[in-house]
Amino acid sequence: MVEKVNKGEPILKINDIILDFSTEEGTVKALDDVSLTVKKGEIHGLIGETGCGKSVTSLTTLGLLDDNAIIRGGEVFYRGEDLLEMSEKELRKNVRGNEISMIFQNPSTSLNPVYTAGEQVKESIVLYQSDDDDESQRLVLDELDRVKLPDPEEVYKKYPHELSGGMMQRVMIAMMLACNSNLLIADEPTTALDVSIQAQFLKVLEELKEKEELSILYITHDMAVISEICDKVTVMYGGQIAETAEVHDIFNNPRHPYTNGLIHSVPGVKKDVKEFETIPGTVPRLINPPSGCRFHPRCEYAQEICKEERPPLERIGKEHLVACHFWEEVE
Amino acid sequence: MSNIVETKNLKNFFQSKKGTVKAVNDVTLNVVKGETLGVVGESGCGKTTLGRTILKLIEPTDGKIFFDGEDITDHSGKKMREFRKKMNIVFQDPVSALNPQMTVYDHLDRPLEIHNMVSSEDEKLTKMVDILNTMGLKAEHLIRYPHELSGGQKQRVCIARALCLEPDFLVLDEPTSALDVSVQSKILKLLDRAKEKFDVSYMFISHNINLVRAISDRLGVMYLGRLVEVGDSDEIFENPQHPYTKALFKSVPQPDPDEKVEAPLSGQVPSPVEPPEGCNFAPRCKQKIGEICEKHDPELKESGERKIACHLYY
Repeated sequence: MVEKVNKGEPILKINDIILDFSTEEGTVKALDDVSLTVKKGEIHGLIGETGCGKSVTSLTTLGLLDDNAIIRGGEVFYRGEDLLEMSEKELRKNVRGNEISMIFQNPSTSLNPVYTAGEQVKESIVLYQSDDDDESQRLVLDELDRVKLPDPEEVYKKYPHELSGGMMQRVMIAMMLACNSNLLIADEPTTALDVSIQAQFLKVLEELKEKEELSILYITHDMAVISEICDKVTVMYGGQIAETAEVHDIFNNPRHPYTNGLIHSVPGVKKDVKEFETIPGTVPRLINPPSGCRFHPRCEYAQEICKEERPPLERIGKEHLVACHFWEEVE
Repeated sequence: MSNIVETKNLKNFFQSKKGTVKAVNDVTLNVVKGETLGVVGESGCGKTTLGRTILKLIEPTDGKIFFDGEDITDHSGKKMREFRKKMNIVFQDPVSALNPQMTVYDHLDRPLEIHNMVSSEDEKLTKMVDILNTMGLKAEHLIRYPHELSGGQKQRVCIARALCLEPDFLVLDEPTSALDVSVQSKILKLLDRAKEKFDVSYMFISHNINLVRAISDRLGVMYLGRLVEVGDSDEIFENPQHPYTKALFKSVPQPDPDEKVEAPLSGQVPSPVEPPEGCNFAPRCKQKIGEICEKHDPELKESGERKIACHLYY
């Protein structure tokens, strides 16, 4: 990783990824021309419903896909180098951990139950910072303090089962920080947490972004969390990118009918169930996805062209991209 | 308006190795006929135990439960059977609530047969199709197995199963937590429609506060086994009074990039095993007024239109 990236410049560029899974039932067209860019020091939200390909996108980035995945095209540039060209060994040595880290939904399955929290963070310290016993121990305490864990010395000695979900998730972040990663991929990190704990956790992420220019790709299906911490948002539907824009544009000026539908079906926008709007139909199966725009069977704006032609991801503003034939008509 | 469900000083304590877990601690509440009572609180606050205790799926340790005016606290299992028809529950995870070897037909058939709800096969089918339609499903779904349905469809089957006995009261325990957002709003709309059609009252338990706000007429906020604030849902959301309710609401992210959450609650919910003396919330409370909060447990008392358990309002 030679290229130096300054704040506001792209650190991760995913270009036109096409990816299939071969399964017994047939070929699942999981990603169809997926592109997205995460800039240094920004929190980029990736939102979509179950099976839309948001997790697959992140796993592709880290080379963590199952054997039945076939990448048919595209590239993943991280600080100027294509991760898809790297060998497993190179990824392990130079990328995972020291450059890009990932945290998952359920921290209790990511932590080892038979080691204390401190020992697990120390492992990262020894690998990436210092193998001196006293010094590494001190560094662990620094990292635990950085993620706002109360009483780091106590937490150091605790086993995962003695910590709450929010504390475990912060230990995960501490492990990531110990590796000096520049990019964090967080896959639904707060779904298992209570709101009060979620609020604390989100504050920690925002502070890391502000103070240390950490870049975060934040995957979730929760629109409220997206509006809370993200600078930019990418909306995925059925393995395709529907829309990318700055967070205010996504919420105040959505141009894709799916984005619009998602926002209006979120409780909180409408305060009464009687006013809820819903998107008709269900998420498509990607073994035999709809032709053209994959959203067309559920779309109120759909016309003949939507069945036949896939809309290109068009730039309609400085940071605003949308894939819809009728983006000008959406309201 | 009369109450469909009422509890008086309901308690449910469990013994664990570490001591007594006070899961539900002195809860007095009522659900008025035809309303939806929302119950919110963080994990471990006892909201699920409360729902199950009201249905006597778990025997209460102390206190009283009334159903439609009748004291059912000491009813035996056999006597409860006639009440099972009138009060029911929908669980969070529809996958584990359905039998993978049974079709949708089988799932609806069992309760209808057990409770002698229908006299002929024709009547049964008409009833099943009607209830499936109400939940946005079709007759063709009767022959499907759970694995052939999406998550949202499975949950709709669970709700249909609960509704087919024409209950008066349903406990909905996080019925949409396992589902996608767009599916959540659909289920909520269907529940609202079914409520009017079948004239049923709901107790809607969830940690998703925006969701509870949308569906509830009245709201109860729980903390560590206790009800800390009860009242009209809109009024509590407009103007929360208990310090815990205030802090909890401030933690909830809203889908609006200009509205930011605060993280007013430091630390986490203390263990319900041997909870703190005095007010349970005192150790985390920013509006503590002194010794009284640490020594005396505030009772849930009327304060205008609502009830609040806090020394500030005495």
